[in-house]
Amino acid sequence: MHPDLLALIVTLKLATSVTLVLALIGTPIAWWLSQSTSKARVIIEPLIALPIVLPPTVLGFYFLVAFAPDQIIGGIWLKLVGTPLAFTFSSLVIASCIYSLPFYIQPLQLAFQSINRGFLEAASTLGASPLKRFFYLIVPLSRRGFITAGSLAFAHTIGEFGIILMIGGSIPGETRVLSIALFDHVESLNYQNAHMLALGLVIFSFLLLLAIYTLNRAPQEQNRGLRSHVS
Amino acid sequence: MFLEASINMKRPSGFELQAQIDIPDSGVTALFGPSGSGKSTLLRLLAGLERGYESDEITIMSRGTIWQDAVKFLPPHQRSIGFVSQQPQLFPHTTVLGNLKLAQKFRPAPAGIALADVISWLELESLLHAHPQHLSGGEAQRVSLARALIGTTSCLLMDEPLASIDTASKTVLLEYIHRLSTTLSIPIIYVSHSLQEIQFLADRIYLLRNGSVVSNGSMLDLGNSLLLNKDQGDNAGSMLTCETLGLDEQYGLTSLAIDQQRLYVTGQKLNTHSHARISVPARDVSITLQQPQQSSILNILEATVVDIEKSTHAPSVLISLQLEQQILLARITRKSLDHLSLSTGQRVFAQIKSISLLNENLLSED
Repeated sequence: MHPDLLALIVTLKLATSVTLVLALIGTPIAWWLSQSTSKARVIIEPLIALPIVLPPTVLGFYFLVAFAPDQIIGGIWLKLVGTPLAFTFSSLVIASCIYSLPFYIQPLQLAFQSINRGFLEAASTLGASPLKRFFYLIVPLSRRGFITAGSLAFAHTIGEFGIILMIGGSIPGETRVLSIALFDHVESLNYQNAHMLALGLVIFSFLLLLAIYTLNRAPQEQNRGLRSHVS
Repeated sequence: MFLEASINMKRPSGFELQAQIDIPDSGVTALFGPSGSGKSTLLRLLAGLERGYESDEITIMSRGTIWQDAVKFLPPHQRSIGFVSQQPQLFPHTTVLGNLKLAQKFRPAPAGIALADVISWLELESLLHAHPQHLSGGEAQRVSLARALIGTTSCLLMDEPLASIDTASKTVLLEYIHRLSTTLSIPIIYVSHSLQEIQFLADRIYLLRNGSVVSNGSMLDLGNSLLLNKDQGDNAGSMLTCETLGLDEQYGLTSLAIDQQRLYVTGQKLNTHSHARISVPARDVSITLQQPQQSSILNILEATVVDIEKSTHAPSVLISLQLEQQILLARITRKSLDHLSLSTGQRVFAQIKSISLLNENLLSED
């Protein structure tokens, strides 16, 4: 297989894994943040937003240290899985999840916050358990939030470079993603292949964003109910 | 008894709510009072939408099951209630039918009222495929009522359901609710600040003021009392139950019997020997001391003055007139009161200028 094609497959696999893991982990966090009045929010919210402002190399450096087998995270992984964590696909997934966390959580949190509480109250008096309320009401009413959150997490993972450069090690089929492959082509002055990858990424990213904006602009009259009124 | 509640709660804002409520197994119990009296909060506590603070003493029992006490709190979705709020709160991402089907899905044991019944009772056939945002206020509230009924097994709670819809739709919806209250065998708790709604629907009333129950009793005892009517201004009036006797075809009048006396209303569609509720605005009742002999007013009832609104400096006063069992209210000027020197125990004649026949929504004049 062409090494660039392999890099593309690894990239898509990584972005898909990260989006799925974030859907499982990030969704409850976003819900908690949207509803909680806990004081811990004051700390947790900026902590989650940290990857937006930090240079990826800073995160990458800490991940590099933490994933080493003699450190806590790397050590636990070694005990549980039996192989070292550093320079594996799994390490990329873990690092990317943390790096993309704010891009998944923030749009979703906003969507959750804008749900009219009256709908949820109505559902609970109709006999809906919290789980039923979530799947039958909150998910469809936050459809746009989920689309935006998922696509941003996916796209952001594809565009990742600094962290992967620090912790990935450019192993073909395992940790060599498109952005690294592009970097390798430029390093070896192979500009023609670099052009192909770069242009491919530009077109892909544009198409993805186009799809998000189109979906979000589609007429949608959800969640427009009146605010609940308590007298 | 369907439900017994004892509430003693205090909000940080200083608002206090103190109430002992008993809800029998059937019929409409009204929680009536001005806004800010705590009636909506009370209803939300019964539904489990609010649970008070730790220092509050709240006990709610329903047929031997504890809904709430010092240690236990049953969340709303486990109380098997139907709840209709002021806003219809229809789920916007699906159709009317979708809303009803979601309600069906939400109920853990769909053993209560069936979907098909609800659709036919509330005549929703033509609305099923419409989206909530295309419904009028009255239609949306009708769907909301239907949705609340599906699968309901214990009771129906309504929090000012007619407060935010237009007057014409109000009358229609009131009719639907009235019909449901006679069809369903579950108790209904109805919160409102509108005397007409309460008089029309309720069997029992809890009157709330400033977070306390001021009075409670049956509609017959309390519905036409001065206590309920004195702050109502032009809305003051009485609700009377009559027996329909038959139609006088020559004049197009239906005659009604009320406590052995006779009334006439224009209207055709009444079944004879059934019960009809009529409403008589207090301002349309005048008082004479002798039986008027030559008057265009048809409806004249003999009654006894039982109560006169006191301590008022307003130009008009409310007079409570006892028929045989029911109470008729009259609003007359203070000048007339002095002129006739009315006192309690006096026999008088009440001339009624207008009667609203509520079950048929027909209005009769003179």
